[in-house]
Amino acid sequence: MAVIRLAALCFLCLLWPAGRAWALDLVVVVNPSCAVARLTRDDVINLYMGRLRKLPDGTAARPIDLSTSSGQEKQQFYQRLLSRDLSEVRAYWARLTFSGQASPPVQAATTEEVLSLVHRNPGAIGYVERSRSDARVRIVFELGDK
Amino acid sequence: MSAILKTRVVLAALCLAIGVAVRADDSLDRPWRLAGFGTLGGTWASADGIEYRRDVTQAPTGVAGGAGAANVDTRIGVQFNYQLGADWEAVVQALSRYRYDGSWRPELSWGFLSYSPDAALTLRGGRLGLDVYPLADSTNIGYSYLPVRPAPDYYGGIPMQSLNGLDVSYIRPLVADALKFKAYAGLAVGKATADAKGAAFDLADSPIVGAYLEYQGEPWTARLGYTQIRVAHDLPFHDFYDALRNGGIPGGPELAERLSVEGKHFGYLSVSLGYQQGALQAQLAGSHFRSDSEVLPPYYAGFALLGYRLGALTPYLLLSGARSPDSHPVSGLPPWPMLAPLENTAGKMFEANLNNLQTVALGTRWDLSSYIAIKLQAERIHGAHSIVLWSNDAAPVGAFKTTVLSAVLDFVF
Repeated sequence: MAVIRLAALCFLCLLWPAGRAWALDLVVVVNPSCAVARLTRDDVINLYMGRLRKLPDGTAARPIDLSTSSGQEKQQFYQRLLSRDLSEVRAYWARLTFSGQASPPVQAATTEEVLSLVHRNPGAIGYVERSRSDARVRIVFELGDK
Repeated sequence: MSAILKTRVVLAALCLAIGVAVRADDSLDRPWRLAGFGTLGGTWASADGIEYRRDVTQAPTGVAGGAGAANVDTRIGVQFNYQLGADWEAVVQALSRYRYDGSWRPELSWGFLSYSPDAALTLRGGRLGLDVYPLADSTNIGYSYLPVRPAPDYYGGIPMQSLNGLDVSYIRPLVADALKFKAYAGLAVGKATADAKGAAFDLADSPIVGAYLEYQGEPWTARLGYTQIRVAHDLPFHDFYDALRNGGIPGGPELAERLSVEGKHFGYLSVSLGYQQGALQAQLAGSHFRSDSEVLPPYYAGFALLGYRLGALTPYLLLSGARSPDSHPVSGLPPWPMLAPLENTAGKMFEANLNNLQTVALGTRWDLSSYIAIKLQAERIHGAHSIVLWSNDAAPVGAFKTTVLSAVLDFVF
């Protein structure tokens, strides 16, 4: 009986979404020299899913992702933007990458690296916690936006 | 350099590339990127004589009659991208899998130069992936799709995975989503197993053109595409064709023409619809293979896939099938006893590439991490003909039923 209970517990653990955490206040940022004032949720989805490769002002877009080891930001970004787990996002990009059709967003190791890359590249776009954004970047979308 | 030595050199390069890829991180400042994918899998099938294959480019697998093997799904590939300035990129992908000749010799899946003068427009030239796989794009990247393998009833009849040529794609916003158009032209690259002795149907030098229109949105995606090929070389049964054409047999040249594929056109029309919203994902696709030759009869195929994510597990149901229109071709040869071997061969050729089967598969995907997934799948196949399943000498005459169990570990790096 104990074995059955243990097996049931293990199964429930598998079903439980990993990494439950408080919602972070995430914002999408671009280079301050970029002419884009705001992005819509659809803009952000299309840019991060590789469907559009230009920002609305015509600049070639360079989306930047956070690595999974950086914390909860990446998981919450895709969960709230697309309702998808990171494994589903990875599977999506594997399909495009290995059919030679598109390259996934560049992976930054830390939020500081995201801010630095966006600051140095006019078409770069990244996501960070609102409290971490500074004068090097400009907020164009908030994850709570519709 | 001998074939064995070449194979060892390419395998060593694959291993080295994997080692480098595991250590590599993406960077905006670095011009190159190395990545890879692979599957370790085992498959077991119940019925005698009906060997399970995932597509027609595989030699007989031995997976039948209660026997299992790892050759159906196991594969590994690496891809190297190099950015040559703002607009140009070079991409090379090598793949090792169980092939038409029963070997695992690595092959160049694609190697091309890509030019994007505008963020919406991309031109590519070189060896390109044949982009006729709706909702899968390539059938080799196990990690990228939900089931153990894309439905063989639907995808398995396509005998090539790449072409040497050019393609152009254009993507533009459509309201809140995107619309993509792509056209391609070139010479096909691919070989399909023709008999158990290792003879192969070679599609080299066959001109191929195609195009598709794709809607990319959330939660819907849709695609409509058409590809046409004019086959350059006949099936590898030269003695048979020669006997019919030059043997002075009444009706022989006419039968040879009906069973020939050289210089004939074949078309592949496909339409697909995808839906992914939260934990639910669904796919529906249908295709029609059009043929000018009686040895590769036309057929319709389709599949429906439904999956629902529960944490790290995603159970799914996959229904698929393929069917050739009913026909009962006769050879037209005189009923002479001395022509019995030719009559027998012609009858087998008329039947060998018919499709009439249905598959029900149940399975689950378990995402261990965002790089590794394990999948378990059980499927029940019943039908009378299949272009993909291999009928050996122990195959039942007429209808068959078989149960197939699969377990795979998919990974990307």
